[in-house]
Amino acid sequence: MDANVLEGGGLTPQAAVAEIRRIEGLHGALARRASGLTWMIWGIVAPAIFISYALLSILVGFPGDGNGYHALWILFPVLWVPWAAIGFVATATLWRSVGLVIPRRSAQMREGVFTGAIIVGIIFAGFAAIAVSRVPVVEFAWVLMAQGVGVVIVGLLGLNCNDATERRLWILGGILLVAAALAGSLALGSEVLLARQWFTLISPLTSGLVLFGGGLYLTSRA
Amino acid sequence: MALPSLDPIIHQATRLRIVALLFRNRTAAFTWARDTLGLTDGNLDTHTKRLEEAGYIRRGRVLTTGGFQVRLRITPEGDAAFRAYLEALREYLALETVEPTPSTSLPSTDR
Repeated sequence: MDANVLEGGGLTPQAAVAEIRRIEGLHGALARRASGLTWMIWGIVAPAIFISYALLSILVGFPGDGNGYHALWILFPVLWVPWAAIGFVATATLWRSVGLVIPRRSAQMREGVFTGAIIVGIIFAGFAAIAVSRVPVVEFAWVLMAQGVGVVIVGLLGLNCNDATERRLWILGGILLVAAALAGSLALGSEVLLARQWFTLISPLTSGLVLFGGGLYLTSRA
Repeated sequence: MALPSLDPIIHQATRLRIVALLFRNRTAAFTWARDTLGLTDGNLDTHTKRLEEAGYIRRGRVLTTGGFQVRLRITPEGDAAFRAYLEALREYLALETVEPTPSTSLPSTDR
């Protein structure tokens, strides 16, 4: 053995590895718990968005129903914004608090914003395609599917993942959302009105269960 | 085959923990590092001075709402040294599995 190792205070290379892993683990657990809490925040925000739209649709009907002009229709493209802002502020505050112990790198913050942009981008791209093609689509079914597709993409790109389990959870969670949207759409067929009623119930429940449940799992295993 | 050398500045239990902590976080308050690593003020101070002398970390004072706070920051040299240390450790452990030694724990000369 090299003489340098002599100075290690009886520290074997194996013990050195264990020490490094312990220091890493100290923060890994905190980061995983914070990730889990982030999932839980969005597990409340996502159903809240669905419920807000459901309530608005009771008031004015969906834009695709041909109900004519209504002053509140302007709310449809922007109703999600206050909820998303609440989610964003809660997430940023959480990670800012975690940052007292684990300084977040700017790349990680960019990943969070990019994740939101992917999901919102897919949802709006889909609505644009629906508007152009005039295909009768249940709005909530599309949003649920778009959320799922977005979440799978984020998982595949490995964004916002502390470890392999979290990455698998992103992919699995996304697949569950897509599966729920597909299963509901196939089961209800062309009954748009009935499908709309079912998806008013299915969409917030599924997204809430997947995101909140996933977050609960992440925090419990950390 | 000769085993790779491990940087004697880093290869000491307390200093290794300090450098690993700073490598992960880049910067840390002195008091927070002390509490996180379960060290005394004197112990942390002694080892951080040694690391400062080697140019691996830098100590600074920042004004916070609670007054001046001593902060430790890893330097680019420290970052590179820790990466080299990790690499040497990997090589060491890989070689040791090929050429097992009776014991890798040797008496301490560092006090």
